[in-house]
Amino acid sequence: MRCLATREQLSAFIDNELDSQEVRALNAHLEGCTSCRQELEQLRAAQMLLREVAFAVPAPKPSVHFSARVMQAIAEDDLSHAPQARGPFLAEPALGRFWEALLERAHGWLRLPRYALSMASLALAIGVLTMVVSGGGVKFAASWFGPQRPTLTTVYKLPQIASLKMPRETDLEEALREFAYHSSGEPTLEGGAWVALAQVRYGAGAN
Amino acid sequence: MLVLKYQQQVFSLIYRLTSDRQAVEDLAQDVFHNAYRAIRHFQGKSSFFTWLYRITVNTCINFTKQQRLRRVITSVEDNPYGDVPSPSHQEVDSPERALENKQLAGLIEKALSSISEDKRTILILRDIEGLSYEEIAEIMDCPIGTVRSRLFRAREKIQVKLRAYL
Repeated sequence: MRCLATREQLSAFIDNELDSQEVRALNAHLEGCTSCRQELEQLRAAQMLLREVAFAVPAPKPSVHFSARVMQAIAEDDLSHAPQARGPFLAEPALGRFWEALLERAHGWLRLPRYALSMASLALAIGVLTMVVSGGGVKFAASWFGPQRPTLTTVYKLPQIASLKMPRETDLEEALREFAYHSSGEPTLEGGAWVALAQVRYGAGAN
Repeated sequence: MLVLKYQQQVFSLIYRLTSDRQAVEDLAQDVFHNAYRAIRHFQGKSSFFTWLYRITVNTCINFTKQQRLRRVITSVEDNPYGDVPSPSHQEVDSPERALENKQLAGLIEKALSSISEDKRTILILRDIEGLSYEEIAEIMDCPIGTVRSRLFRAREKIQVKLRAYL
């Protein structure tokens, strides 16, 4: 083994990072090479000096309030990036814009706080939709207001959609009506159609 | 909590990489803040520890680059290794030993600053932080063979600078 190649290995040798074959070859070379043995000792001494001085000059310790400062900075960052809170009924874009516009006008006419108007409009919407959907569809209509509420995207991603060759609708309710019609044969979005939709979304046990 | 678990190690690494005692706590805060923001990208391919160390290394590299732009050349007597605690705060045998350490610390800092950033980082991660080649390779995002060769070159250069003290 030549000295140049050996010297590269000496560094890994002092870190125990050579495999057994390399160690055997290196030891065999060191037995007959004074220069490389001296180089090895110098390497070890330099490493030891570096460690001794580093330990003699300790790193600063975190202050007792450090973790609290970190959490506060994170919380402030979260607040500054938080999206505006929107009610569930405003999550769907088209419907959301409609209700936003309605609230703006009502706020101007009635001079009521926006929060009160939001709650009133939500209650009204629930009432209207409940009246529109009959029978077993009421339960699933309620699911519209939860976090799993389907959107146009989720509807068109359903595996059944591709096979139905549904026309692409831009209105969510129209899309679901089409889907319900094609999957259940029911002409309107009620009763059995809702059940069919729920079964697709929530599994065969949904009812 | 992860901050409490890793804060001392992060502090130590930042100090060794930047030699700036005053900047350590602010940089450490940046590290944990950046880690929080990037946590969704942590895929678990490496350990959390090496992932956090990578963020620490990158944060320190950015800091030293900024510092380099406004660096004032200091002499060894100013001790660029940071404000070394006075002998009364150190567990040393004598003031002479403390002074010797201070002078050596300055020389080591000067030697370290004469090698490239990646070699210096690898040397610190291995010889001061005690990480394995595999851990270093994960942190530096390079093959283990690269860690080995960079470490060899870094040690070669440091050895030359410190030969009189070995």
